[in-house]
Amino acid sequence: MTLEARALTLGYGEREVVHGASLRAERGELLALIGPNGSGKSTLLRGLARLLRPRAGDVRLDGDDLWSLGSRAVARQIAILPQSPDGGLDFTVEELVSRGRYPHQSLLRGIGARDVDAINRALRDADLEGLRGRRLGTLSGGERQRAWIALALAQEPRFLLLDEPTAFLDVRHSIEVMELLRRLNAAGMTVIAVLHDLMLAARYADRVAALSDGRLRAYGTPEDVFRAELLRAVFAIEMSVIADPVTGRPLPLPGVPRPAAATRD
Amino acid sequence: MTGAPATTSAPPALRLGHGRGRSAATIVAGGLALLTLALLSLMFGAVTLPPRDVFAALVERGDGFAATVVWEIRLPRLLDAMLVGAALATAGALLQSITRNPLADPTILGVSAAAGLANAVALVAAPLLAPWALTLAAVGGGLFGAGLIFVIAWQGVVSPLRLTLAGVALAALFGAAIVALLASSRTFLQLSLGFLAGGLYGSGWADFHAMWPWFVPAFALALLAADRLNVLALGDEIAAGLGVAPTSTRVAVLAATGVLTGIAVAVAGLVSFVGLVCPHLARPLVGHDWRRLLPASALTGALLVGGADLVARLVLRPAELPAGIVTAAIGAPFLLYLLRVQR
Repeated sequence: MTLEARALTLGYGEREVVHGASLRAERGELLALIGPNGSGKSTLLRGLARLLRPRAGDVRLDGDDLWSLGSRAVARQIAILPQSPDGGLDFTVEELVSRGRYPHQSLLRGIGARDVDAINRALRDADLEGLRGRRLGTLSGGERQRAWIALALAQEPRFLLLDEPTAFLDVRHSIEVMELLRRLNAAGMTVIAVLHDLMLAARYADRVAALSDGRLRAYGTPEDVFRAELLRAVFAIEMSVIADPVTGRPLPLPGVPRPAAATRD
Repeated sequence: MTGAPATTSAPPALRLGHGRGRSAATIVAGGLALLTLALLSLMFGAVTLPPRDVFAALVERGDGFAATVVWEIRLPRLLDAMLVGAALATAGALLQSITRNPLADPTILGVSAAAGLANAVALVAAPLLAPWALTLAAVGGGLFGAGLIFVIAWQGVVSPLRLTLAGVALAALFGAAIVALLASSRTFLQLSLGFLAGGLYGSGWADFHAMWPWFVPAFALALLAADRLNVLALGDEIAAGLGVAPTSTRVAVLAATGVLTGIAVAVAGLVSFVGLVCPHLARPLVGHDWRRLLPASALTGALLVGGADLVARLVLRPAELPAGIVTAAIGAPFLLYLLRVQR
């Protein structure tokens, strides 16, 4: 059960955004994609979810080319949650989450017991049982984010792809989301997440891929990737790495920006 | 959210949209409203027939006065009005769905005007054209209008805003062309005025038979697309991730919209606001699930145009008002109300 990008090149129109990235995510692991804004993380995530056709290279799901499979067949295996989705504000949480069953439903068969189970489990996992009847538009940013995650969970994917799942969350809810992802890992689900918070990436990820300018600069365990000189090259900022006093894993800390960084971007 | 909610051990049953009981009640109420409207429409007109005569005429189908009025004039016109309403309301619901814009409507987006222009060209070129041929022309125009919206708004991904603005421009352009055409032709008659305002004056069985062969497949296509529209409502990215192709869904739905608008315009002219109003009237009753909302909108449209036609026939009796004036009188204030409510 692996999702593998092989020399994957992606772009929009004239612009090539990701240049020949190769990486793989194994069953039950959490792969974090890190890198500065505009480095191609979200584009890479879309390519891995079959939302963007490769310019070159390919994506393999258990050895099969993603584009040889139908979009619905892929949707039964891979769920993707883009950054800050804006639709569905009139829907109740329950209505929203039930839409996640679309790839499993057929025309003749309506919502069945299996679908109801999946929806209830997704609501429980995302701690939304008390909010199931609330409209999305009335929720706080954190609650809304958890509702979107629950939508992806209702899809019962083997691979869960998330673009900045903690973007609008406070510390407590961020940690809760990361703990949820780890529980999903333990149940066998593979998670690939774009993370801006390097501390969360270092603490929770099994594997880290660092991108800058559309190129994969490093790919390996947190110990491999979170090294001061490597982070300096990727983020163009002074970084130091200490041992996390809680976990003993590497803990990256930003330093003073280099003069060159001020004119970038 | 702070503090874990108190949860019971048994997971509650899902309450998606509305319960079955409420759905059944809505269907029964809708059916009763339809029957009531049908009875009233068959009773009232230039002459009033008591219910007893209407039933007798319906059952016996003789060649007496009442039977002729019911079978040859009022019943086909009633069915035409209901089918026009159902078609326009479904077209409006579909447009609101794919543009994710609650103010979308075949009139506002220029699909009606495109169908009307094709229809007017056909009328002026060949005034004695059969209803099926006029319908064909209007359907062609409707498809053209729907396709043009799509092409103009296309930029890799079709955004709701671009689609809407393109439609507004087309509506103005085609509307002006229709008026120019009708005004400059020698066939500018009372008929043209009725066409511009929209109404069912003089429509009969031939119109009904020209409409339904288009309506049935277009409505079926819309119903088949309903679960995709449910997913598309969450945004293109989410929909694509769930396995729904946003662009091909929009193309199919726009084609259905063009056909439904075309048949309505061919028979009733430029009846406005039906597509705008009906989905909003139906939504509080059945929720946002398009599998229920599409048929509910169609039913609402049938009631609205059927009712408007009845009112239009009665207020100036024995003369008639175009039914489109009645729908506009309801729809225009409703649009202003929506603009107030929508942020």
